Amino acid sequence: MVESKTHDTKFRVGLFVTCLVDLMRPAVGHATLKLLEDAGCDVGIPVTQTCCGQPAYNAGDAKDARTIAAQVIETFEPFEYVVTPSGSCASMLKIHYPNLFKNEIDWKSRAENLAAKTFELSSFLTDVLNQKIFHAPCSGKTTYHDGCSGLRELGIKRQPRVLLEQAGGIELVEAKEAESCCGFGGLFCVKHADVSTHIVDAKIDDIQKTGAGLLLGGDLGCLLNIAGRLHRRGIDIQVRHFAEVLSGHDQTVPAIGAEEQTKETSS
Amino acid sequence: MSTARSHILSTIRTALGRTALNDARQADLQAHLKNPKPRVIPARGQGSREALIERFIDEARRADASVERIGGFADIPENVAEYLGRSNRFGKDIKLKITPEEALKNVDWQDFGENHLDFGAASPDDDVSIAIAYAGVAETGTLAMVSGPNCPVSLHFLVETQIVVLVESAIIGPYEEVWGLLRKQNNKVLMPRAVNFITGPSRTADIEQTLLLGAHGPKNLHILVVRNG
Amino acid sequence: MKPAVDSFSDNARDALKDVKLQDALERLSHGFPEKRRKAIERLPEFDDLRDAARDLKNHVLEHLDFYLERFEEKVIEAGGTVHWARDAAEAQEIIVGLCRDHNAKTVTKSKSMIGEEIAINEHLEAAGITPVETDMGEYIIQLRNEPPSHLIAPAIHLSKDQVGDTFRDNHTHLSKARPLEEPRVLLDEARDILRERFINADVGITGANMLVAETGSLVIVTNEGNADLTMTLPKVHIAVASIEKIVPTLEDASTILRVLARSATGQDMSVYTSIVTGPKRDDDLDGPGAFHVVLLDSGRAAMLGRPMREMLRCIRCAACLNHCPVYKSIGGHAYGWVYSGPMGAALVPNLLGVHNARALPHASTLCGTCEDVCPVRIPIPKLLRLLRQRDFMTESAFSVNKRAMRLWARIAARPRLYRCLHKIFAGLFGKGAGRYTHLPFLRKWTVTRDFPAPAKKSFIDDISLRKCNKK
Repeated sequence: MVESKTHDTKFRVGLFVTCLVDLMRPAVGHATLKLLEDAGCDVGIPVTQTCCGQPAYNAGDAKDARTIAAQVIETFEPFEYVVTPSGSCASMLKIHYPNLFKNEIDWKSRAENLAAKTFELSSFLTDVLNQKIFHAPCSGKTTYHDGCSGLRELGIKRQPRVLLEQAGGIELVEAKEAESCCGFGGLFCVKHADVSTHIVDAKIDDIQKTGAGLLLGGDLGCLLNIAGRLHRRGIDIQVRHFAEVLSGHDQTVPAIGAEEQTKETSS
Repeated sequence: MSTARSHILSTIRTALGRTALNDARQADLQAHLKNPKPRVIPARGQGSREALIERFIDEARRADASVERIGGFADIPENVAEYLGRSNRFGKDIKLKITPEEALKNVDWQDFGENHLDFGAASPDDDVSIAIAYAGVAETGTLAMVSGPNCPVSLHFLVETQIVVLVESAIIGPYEEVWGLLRKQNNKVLMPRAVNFITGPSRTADIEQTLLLGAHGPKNLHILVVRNG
Repeated sequence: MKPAVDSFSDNARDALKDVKLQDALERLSHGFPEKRRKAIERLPEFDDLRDAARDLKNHVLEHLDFYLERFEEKVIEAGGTVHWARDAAEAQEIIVGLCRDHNAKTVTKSKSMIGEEIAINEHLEAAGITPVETDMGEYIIQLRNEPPSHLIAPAIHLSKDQVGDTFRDNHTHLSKARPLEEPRVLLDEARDILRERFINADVGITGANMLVAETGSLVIVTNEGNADLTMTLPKVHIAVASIEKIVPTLEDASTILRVLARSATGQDMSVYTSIVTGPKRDDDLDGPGAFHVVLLDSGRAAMLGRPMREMLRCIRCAACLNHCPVYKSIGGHAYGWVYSGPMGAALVPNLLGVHNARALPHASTLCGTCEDVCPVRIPIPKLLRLLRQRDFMTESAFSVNKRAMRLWARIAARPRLYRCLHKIFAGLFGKGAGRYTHLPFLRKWTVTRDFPAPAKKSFIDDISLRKCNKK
């Protein structure tokens, strides 16, 4: 367990950082930690966390998904809240874990308890904490991609936008197809890579119409997919997780897939 | 009882984890069938008399029907002549087929001449039909045509131009009221052979999603809303 | 239509390269969804109606045997005949038999997905009977010998030029040089030709959108009026419908009608919604002398006992197709059988067997838009996951796919091993920033996308280290 500094604490929060953030982009984890600490939370980071089990679950491997889920439940049970910077992982814990254990009375109850106290980051900051953000992020035209799980399973739409608007300095331009799938779909993006690429191309064409220089979102899987295709197509739009902008980490960390940049070129 | 029938029914019951429903449950369900209840009636299917008439006309026009309000049945021939003349269709050889309803037989059709006008079911040579609607559903500007000896179904589909007479008092709000009216008639078999709900002229968008009026059914639908029927 | 689901990946690849198809799908993307949205804006009660539609269909499925028996009673009372068919073969035999009984030479047909499912046209032709599709889209694809590519717009994959070429090739009695560029001209030509067929048909075959138990009625919905001409002019009307199409009462039918056209084409009501009951009455001036309904099971009854039952609520509106990112990329033919898009991906494995349609449950990003727009609230992603579970369980333990997944899962369940293996991975591939244009183990990704470089150190390792340093 790694503990955050505690001062005038509101809640004891377990940070479920997600495997993609953990392995691919720790900056999002640091940004999330900062946002939670700034909001007065006492954050614990269990070091035994690995994955929520979504890849197995979506592939039809319910047995292994259950094993991983049981581990997650045990690890995060002691916390008052569990917060994660991913709509799809939050949805896995909130919506699908109770389903995985639906025929096991005790485990189902434990899964339901965990589900009730798990939140996606923007939802936790707005719906639970009503937190105000005071960081002034980079200015410029920005647009937002709504990850499918967060949007359709958890109703996350308004929350990241409220936070971004509060922070000021961002000119948020809505893409017409902000809610359309980016084609990631977990294993789908490699199983049906050509179809996935076609879908992300449609997404990118739509994003370009906004004139935005920065794309934000709340799911790293989506963002890696979109950024990867943007880079391959040579399109100059930066991609970040919204937590990076709200916490100020965008000032020091290159955008997703971008090379190291000097301070002058970073925003 | 056919083998297939008993097999299908038994597969259904096995899948549902039971045998046939018991008598009490069947009686329950049967009672509901004999006394059906509406579910959600949208606000657009409700309103005052005048509001429903206005709504019917708006919605029908939205669906590309043309609509005119006239005083009584006596005004029909003049309006029909004007409408057909306006569209400059058919010329001298026009053939009208009219539903054999007394109210229409009693109208003065002399301007059209015997050779161009007859009463009965439509034939492929007929150009224009005239029928009386059973009801007008204000909710979506939809005509309810009910088949019978005085309202053959072919009139609604075989002609190029369909003219429908709708008496104001027959305009109702939601579709459910049509069922109520039919049930009130208390016929031995509730339903006629056909209840045709018609909303505008026929259309298709099957070719490159281009919307075109006049697919197989009529190309034109003209509705005469009659104040005194 | 012979299923070609196994070649889904190849089909999809071909579809992505088909320029005309891609143009057509682009048109679809901007057409139906926008129209649906506008229609719903004008109906504040839409979501309540969806709930009511879901509830009434659930009720029917729970009591399907009762309602089928009531429906049959009422059809007979009205002077019609009900036939029961366990599978496609029985349905084919019944329908061909009825046509033979009435010495039918030509049969007009209105659009019926069940008709496609049982491949009735092939069997009629084999019996020396000529079936003529009358729905404009179905007519066009019949001439081209193609299956439908969409539930309600069967020829949506074609350009007007392709339609023009088809007419030129097939309507050989007309001048070869005539202009066939405009949709209006094409439509008028088809209307004239089909009018003759309507008038001369011996038998009319339709599907049914709904079967009403209260009255023994069929509800049949079109915009063209072709179904009405099909079932009014010939002396015999045969309707074929699957057993789950039942609704209890006329009021229930009205509820479904309110969500059907809006979800399908964005119309408040289709032009022709016809409720037909039995053959012509003694004093009717027109109508068929004989009325037959063929009720088809073909796998539906068996679905009732499983979570898959929810798929039986489907009212075939195609909203899920119109909003699916996968369908909008590849069209309907790629799915390999009669039903495509999200509803096809969930239904076809149930009808053909999971092992005969393995690709379909995976032909989805699980984005959930289908469930969002479904007028009867079918949780298609949940059903696809269940099918994926069935597929995973029956998949060979030696398959690469299964072994890789099990390996990942085993590692994820062992935190120490996970961390240790990750350190090796990060050591090999981790960078401070930047990306890869090629990764051998992620070849399918890097063919078309750069892969943002993994971190040199995981978040967990980094935060643990910081804490240690702080101490």
